[in-house]
Amino acid sequence: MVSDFFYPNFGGVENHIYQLSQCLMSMGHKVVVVTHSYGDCRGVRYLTNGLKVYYLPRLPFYQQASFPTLLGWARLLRVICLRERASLLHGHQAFSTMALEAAINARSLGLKVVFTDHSLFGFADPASIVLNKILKAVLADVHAVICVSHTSKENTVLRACLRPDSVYVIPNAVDASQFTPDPRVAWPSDPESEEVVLVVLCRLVYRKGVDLLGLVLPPLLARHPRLRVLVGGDGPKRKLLEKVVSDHGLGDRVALCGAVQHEHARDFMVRGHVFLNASLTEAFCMALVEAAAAGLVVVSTAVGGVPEVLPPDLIVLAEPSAEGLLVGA
Amino acid sequence: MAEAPAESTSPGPGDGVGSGDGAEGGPSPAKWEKVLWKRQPFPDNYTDDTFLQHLVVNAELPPRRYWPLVVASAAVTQQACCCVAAGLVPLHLHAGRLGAGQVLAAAGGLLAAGYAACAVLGGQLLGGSVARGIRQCVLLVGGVWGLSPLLRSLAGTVSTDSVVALAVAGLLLHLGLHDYGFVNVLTDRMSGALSLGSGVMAAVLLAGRMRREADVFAVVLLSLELFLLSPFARRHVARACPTAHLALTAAMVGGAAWLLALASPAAAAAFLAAVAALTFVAPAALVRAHRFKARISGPWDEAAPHFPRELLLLPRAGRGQGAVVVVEGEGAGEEG
Repeated sequence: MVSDFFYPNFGGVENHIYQLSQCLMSMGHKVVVVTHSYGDCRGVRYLTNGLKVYYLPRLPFYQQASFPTLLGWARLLRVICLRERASLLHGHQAFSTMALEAAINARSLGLKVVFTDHSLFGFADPASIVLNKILKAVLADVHAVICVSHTSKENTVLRACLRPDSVYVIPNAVDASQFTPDPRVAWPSDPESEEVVLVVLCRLVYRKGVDLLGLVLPPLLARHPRLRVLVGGDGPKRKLLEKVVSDHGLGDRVALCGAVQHEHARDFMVRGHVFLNASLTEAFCMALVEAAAAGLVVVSTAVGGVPEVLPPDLIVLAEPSAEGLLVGA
Repeated sequence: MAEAPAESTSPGPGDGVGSGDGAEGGPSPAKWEKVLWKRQPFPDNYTDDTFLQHLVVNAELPPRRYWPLVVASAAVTQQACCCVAAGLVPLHLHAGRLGAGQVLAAAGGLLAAGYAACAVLGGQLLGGSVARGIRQCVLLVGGVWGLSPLLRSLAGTVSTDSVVALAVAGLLLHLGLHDYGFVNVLTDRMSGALSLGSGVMAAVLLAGRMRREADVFAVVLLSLELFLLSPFARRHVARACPTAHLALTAAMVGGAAWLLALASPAAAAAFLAAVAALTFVAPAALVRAHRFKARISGPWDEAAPHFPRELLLLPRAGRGQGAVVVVEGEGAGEEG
């Protein structure tokens, strides 16, 4: 497994790689993860069940993607593949330069290559155009491509000009034993008069719809006097939310709880009854599945692959606008 | 609802065989649904007929037509003429073919004509009112007059080749980054500070080569008029009457060609050829290239909701726990 994104970084791709590795190991395969070093986390480390992780000395230069040098670490990769007697290389995330380069180098070593794309990308802006061209070049020689939703499959097929039947749709999954509902949570029988808690848990960045959230929260709280909101997560848009909260005097009803570690995510979520997701673009939102597994009602904007993720009785879809979210909530 | 704790337990090669044609063989004609939460009797790489059904190509693309493009290219031609004038007037002053008095008279005439165009055609008095306009004009002229000794010695230590090279580069940058949409009445505000800055920088550099301070004053004043004020006047002319716009363009081309011909007829011929290419050949190329444009959009696009600026930028007036005034409409709905 090769990707720029692995622990100690937190995120959907990292969790996916880790859990996939654990499952494959429990089926008897040997899995080795190759990623770049994070601070003083470098060298070879062993995670649970003997999962071997190589933290290579690559330089991350933009959002944890390492600096692109096509042959810069080809020798290291070759040594690792030979030492571990690898027969398959699985790259993750189109944004990860390590994964793309490893796919090229592994093909010249004669390995089979599988690539998983976790995100949706646009077509119009210059960065996307360059990335799509690179992806097209790399995926031209890959044995199989995995996408996490049908919308993501359409997006990837268009971006990389792939044959659709070489793209497999395998959705992400959640370990339900880790996300169980809390039986002690009292479900309000009458949403109007009893206290209802709304939970938001995401990185506070633009693409997660934090601006929409800031627009929607004040009227929502005005409409339901017994509503409380818990916002977990941190990011550049936190100031915006704090400003909205202070401008409308909602400090006693909205709690900005800061970053929540993944192992505490379930405990954070079961404090609420409704999970709100206002993302502007999602290939497959893991948080929705985790929230549904934890027993919350999910309200989300219908963007990207979200309409495919949960059955209609578990999720309420909304238009990606402030009015739509108000209607949905 | 318990999810399977593993990734798909039926991976790999067994499922991928023989599914390229998308036909679902078998006695039960189950319909493929675009959902991920239930197991469907299709392989993982099954491609349904509805694949890419929501793909939209070139949704809101206005077509490009030749003659409107030719008319629109007049703005670029006008700007090129301004640059040529701004570059050649210092040359002629330096060589003695023109006098500072003539240049000042031309600048004054252009200022009056431009002001009249703005006032009559556009109803916009530059500077707010006539008195303020005159005051600003006096301030501008006085400022340039006071600064001209300084400007003359500003680039004194730079050699002439470097000055000419920098000036040419600055004027090209100005042409490249200029806000042509403004003159073509497409936008309402003039933008492009970098282009203005590079144009003025080129003018100042060339002015620094002048021999007399009166020359410096004349050059800087003319250049400032051409780069700062003429877009507004030309915009009003373009909006009022397209024929006058084209006539103005032709007059500017003629003026620039005359200035060039004073220096070298070959350069004038080259300039006229470039203008012809810009006016007739470039639009044809653009129209031909437009056929290949494919703007792809579909359900994977990032949503671009409308954020009303009032809610995001200004603090609200009513604080405290009471009813909050809401700008957008509220929908009917319930929690839970």
